[in-house]
Amino acid sequence: MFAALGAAIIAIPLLALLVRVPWSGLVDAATSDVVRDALLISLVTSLAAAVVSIVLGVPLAWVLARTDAPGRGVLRALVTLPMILPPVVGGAALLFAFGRRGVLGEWLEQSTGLVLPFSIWGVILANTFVALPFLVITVEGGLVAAGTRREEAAATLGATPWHVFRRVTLPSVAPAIRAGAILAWARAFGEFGATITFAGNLPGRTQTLPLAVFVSLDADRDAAIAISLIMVVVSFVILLTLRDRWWSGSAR
Amino acid sequence: MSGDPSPPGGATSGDPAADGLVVDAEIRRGDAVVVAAFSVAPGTTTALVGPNGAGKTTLIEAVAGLVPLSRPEVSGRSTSVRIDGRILDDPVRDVFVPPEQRSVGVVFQDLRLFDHLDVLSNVAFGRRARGEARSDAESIARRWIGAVGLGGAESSRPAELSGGQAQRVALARALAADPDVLLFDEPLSSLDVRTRAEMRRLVRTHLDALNGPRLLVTHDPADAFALADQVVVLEGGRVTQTGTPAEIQRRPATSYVAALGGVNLVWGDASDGRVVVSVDGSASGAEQVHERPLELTVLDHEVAGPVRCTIPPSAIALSPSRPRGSQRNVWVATVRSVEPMGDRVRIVLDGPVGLAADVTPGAVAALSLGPGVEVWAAVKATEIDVQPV
Repeated sequence: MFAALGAAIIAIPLLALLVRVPWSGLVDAATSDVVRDALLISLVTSLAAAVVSIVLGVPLAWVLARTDAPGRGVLRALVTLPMILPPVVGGAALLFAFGRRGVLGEWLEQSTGLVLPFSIWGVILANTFVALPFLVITVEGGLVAAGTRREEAAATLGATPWHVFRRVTLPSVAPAIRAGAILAWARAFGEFGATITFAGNLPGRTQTLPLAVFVSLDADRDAAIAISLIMVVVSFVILLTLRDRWWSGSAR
Repeated sequence: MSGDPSPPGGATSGDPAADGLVVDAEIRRGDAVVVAAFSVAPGTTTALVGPNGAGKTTLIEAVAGLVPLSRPEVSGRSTSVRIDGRILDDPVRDVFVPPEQRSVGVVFQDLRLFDHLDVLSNVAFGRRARGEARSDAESIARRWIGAVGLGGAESSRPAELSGGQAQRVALARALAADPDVLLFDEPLSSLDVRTRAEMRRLVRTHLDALNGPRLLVTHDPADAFALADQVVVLEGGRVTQTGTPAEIQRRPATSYVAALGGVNLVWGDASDGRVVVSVDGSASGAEQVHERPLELTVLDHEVAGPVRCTIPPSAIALSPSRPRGSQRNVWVATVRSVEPMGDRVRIVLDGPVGLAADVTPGAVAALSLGPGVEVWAAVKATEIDVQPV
């Protein structure tokens, strides 16, 4: 009974969305300039955020899982904070740090000329801010599960720590990195609050699909529904591809 | 040291300048303290034996550099791990050489093969890790895989191997890296009886071919006596006795060592599944040659020539008349002595071969065992372990 109710709470809005889909005008709505730009920006920025998350997140996960550096508990709490923080607060925080008058933003603009807010770089930064924790905790879990026994064996065979990391540690957590990257990408793909706060909502520059949905709800309801449908389908496909690797394959 | 699986033999004579592995260790982990000092000469094998939890694996890890020595408090002197005079760990002098710079090969009890690599890459790992070209590393790895009898399994994954095969890979992986010292943690404990005898022979062959010191951890006295030149007994984190297998057997310092040394060792000539026993040297303490030797039926039909057999005292059954079962190894023996040992009684037998048998106090009463009494002794072929010597 409660289970059915729980499923209904999620299923009914999605069904309502499907019911309202203007199937005849769908192709036109989905191929309009606004939607095409937004889709491109969304794909580029979310993929970039996933890549940055891997590059920065794997070492971070390694520090959390493999070192006994003091303050690891605090670091872990800090890294996972964006998962529960309202994204709009994250966006505001990014603005205070990297805005034109921000702590680092002013220095960054003077020394390199790079302006993050209201640019596509800002979208990538906002996406990374919300996506990174998903990769870090997934990979940290993978590292803890893999243990250090094989790394020790590699060291006794003469492998330097760097060689051990590349040839033993990374391959053993490859499934966790893959799952974490997909989760991070999915989170970045749907990001709204931090993006609109930090990078604004400029069509063709910083307007991602979620922002386009929000704007279109007033202006062009059919377009909003078409974009929503795209996002539901993409998200659902991600979940299906993840199902075997992550949800049930957590033993890896 | 050569990385070749079959270097020229006879290189075991100790060079006095190279003093092998010298361990003088104190390691504290939580409440447990391990304090041990021993050395292993080049070209010899030392067995580290002791009950579970005695600290054997901790010592192995200290030699490998996976666990650092603690600053000495209990031993009251400086501690260190040295190989051929080179200090690998000395907490007082603040020296600690990390495992990758020690050239200490380890065959782990839990093997720790790399699941994501095939057998060839596992065995080639050490040489690749030190920057050797892939083709060179792999050709040496292939030779080692052949040397441990796994030729053809190069592209298998560890998950596809049996326990015995996986252990051979672990051995080949350690040896292919050409270590100065080889550490072997419980080499045979996880294997079934048949694989065990085979593996013991293989381990012996490869240990003998290694010029460096070898340290073997085991809780099985049969392994220790079959493979080692020296036995170090570790109990509760302390060394309770050090000596050759024969010394350990003849003058056991503790009850654990006594039980350990209770394994019967006999020597003889093997052919076609039978061993003609010529000399015994365990229970009676005296070595004697008999005019009418005992002939033992054993499982191993391939072994031939001079051998050493180990027979656990608990495997020898005593009865008042000729046993009717399927056992073919039966003989008449005379009781020399009866000694209570805990909940068992050790019966030392004379006869065609001097052996010790452990029986229950009830059996002693039922058979009226006492010095001079004649009994039938029997042992199953499966209980006799045969080693070429």
